[in-house]
Amino acid sequence: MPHLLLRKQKLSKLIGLGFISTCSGLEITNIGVFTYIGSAYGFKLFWTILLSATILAFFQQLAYIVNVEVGGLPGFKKNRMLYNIMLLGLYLANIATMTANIVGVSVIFSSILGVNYAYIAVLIGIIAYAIVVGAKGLSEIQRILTILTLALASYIYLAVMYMIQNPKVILDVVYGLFSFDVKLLSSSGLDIIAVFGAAAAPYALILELVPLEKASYEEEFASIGLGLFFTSLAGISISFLSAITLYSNNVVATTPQDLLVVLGDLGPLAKPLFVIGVTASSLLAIIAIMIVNAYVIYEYRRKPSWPRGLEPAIHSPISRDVNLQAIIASLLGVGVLLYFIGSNPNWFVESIKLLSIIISLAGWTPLLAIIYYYRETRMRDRIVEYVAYVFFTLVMVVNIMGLIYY
Amino acid sequence: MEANILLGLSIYTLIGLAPLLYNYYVVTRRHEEAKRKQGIGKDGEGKVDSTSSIGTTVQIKSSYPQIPQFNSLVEGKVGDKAIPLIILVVNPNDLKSDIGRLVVRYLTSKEKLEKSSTMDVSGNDAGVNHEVIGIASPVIAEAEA
Repeated sequence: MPHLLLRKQKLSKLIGLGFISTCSGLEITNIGVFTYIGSAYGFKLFWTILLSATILAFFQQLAYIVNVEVGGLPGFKKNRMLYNIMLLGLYLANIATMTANIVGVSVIFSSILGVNYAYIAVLIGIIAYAIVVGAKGLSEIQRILTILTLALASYIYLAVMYMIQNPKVILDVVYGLFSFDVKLLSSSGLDIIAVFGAAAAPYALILELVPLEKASYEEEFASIGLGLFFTSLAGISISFLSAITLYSNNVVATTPQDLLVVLGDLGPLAKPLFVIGVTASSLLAIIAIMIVNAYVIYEYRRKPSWPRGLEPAIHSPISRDVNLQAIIASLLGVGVLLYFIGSNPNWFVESIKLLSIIISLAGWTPLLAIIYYYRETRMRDRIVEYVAYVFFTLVMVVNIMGLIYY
Repeated sequence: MEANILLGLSIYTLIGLAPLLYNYYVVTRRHEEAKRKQGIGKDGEGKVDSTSSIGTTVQIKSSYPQIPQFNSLVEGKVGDKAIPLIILVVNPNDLKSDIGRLVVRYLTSKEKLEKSSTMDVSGNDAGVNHEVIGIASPVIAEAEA
């Protein structure tokens, strides 16, 4: 059955690194923000989810171009100062993201199992470490990441099931996706900023900078496009579930847990599927970050005789040490948060807010490096360059405003 | 209500989809052009190596005056008497040089065999018909080194 094999090959290429890296951006900070805006605004701000994901996909395209033309992350070493700034910002943002995701999943499982979230946090750290260090190679890790990515379909499944039973809601969703109410901007400006701020996923950009054996713009851009489509659907589904349960009952969610509590109204499968989705999202982000951390540190320390690439980085002893340090740093981060604001009844929300600000402030550095090197590529186009400048400026404005209003 | 939808669709198309699709268009078009211009043998002149197999470090000097007649050389074909081993075409936009269009230089046998050579881009190469079959830029040259 050669035509089926060909289709399977094409599909596996489409669900490649671009797809995984786009989807890995949907983690607990996004889930939290999408849950909140669905509960506070119903369907009205769905367009922010779509637009923020599309802007991220654009930056991923630029990252891939830079990878092919400049030679990936090794090519970034030409400007040592920029490289070091990028690494510092990236590492800080990565640890903050890992901390946020460990906190998020721990709190959810803690409420389900009735176990102290500190124990669950440690368990999640151990599981993530075991997956990355125990994997036989890059292909095994990629398989695990693909499975985790596809598990995000649980959100989409729940949303689609509801729409099938209540088809009238579909028009409202479409309206929320493509309707832009200028009056809403003034009243919901800060929340819109939060959505765009949560879209920052610096590690997803670094995944696009891993050196390649064979470059194919068409394949990778198609993979990014599919990832954009899938992530947007998943993100909108999360917000949709929040809108139909919480918004309709005038309850504003502050955590994904608030949504989990009411999901039982949608049927017996709703809660387990949502928990699967959140766990998969968080694990996907944590593992992706661990791989990126191991790769950037390996590349930073790489001697000329060492092989390039993600595969040797993952197998090197540096990977084990870096990942262990990252897990410990994240768990320490959880501990620090609990110590200082654990007594606050809204400690989870405050933690995620604080971590999101750290992520936004530190996570723009890879973007700066990508735009800088894009200018040196053969694919450089003035219009694309100016669009990148505009988007980067918007990112900085969003970060600064988020900091001011925090 | 319709106005809001129109506004939303316009914003999403302009800010969201347009940059993505335009970038895709630019990249695939340039990639095709680059592929087309590399390593093509023409008119039975013998096998012509691609730029990547030369193994030379190319250093390009800039600041040459603009030579309008180069415009016509881009479309030209290799002459019967000229036997180029390689035709290296440098896009002056990459070099930030003063030359407005493409500049051509033949590499001699000696230059090709040498492990490293310096190629001077000069206005004196005007007047020879040729066909573009290779593209080099400082980025590629550095990568080969």
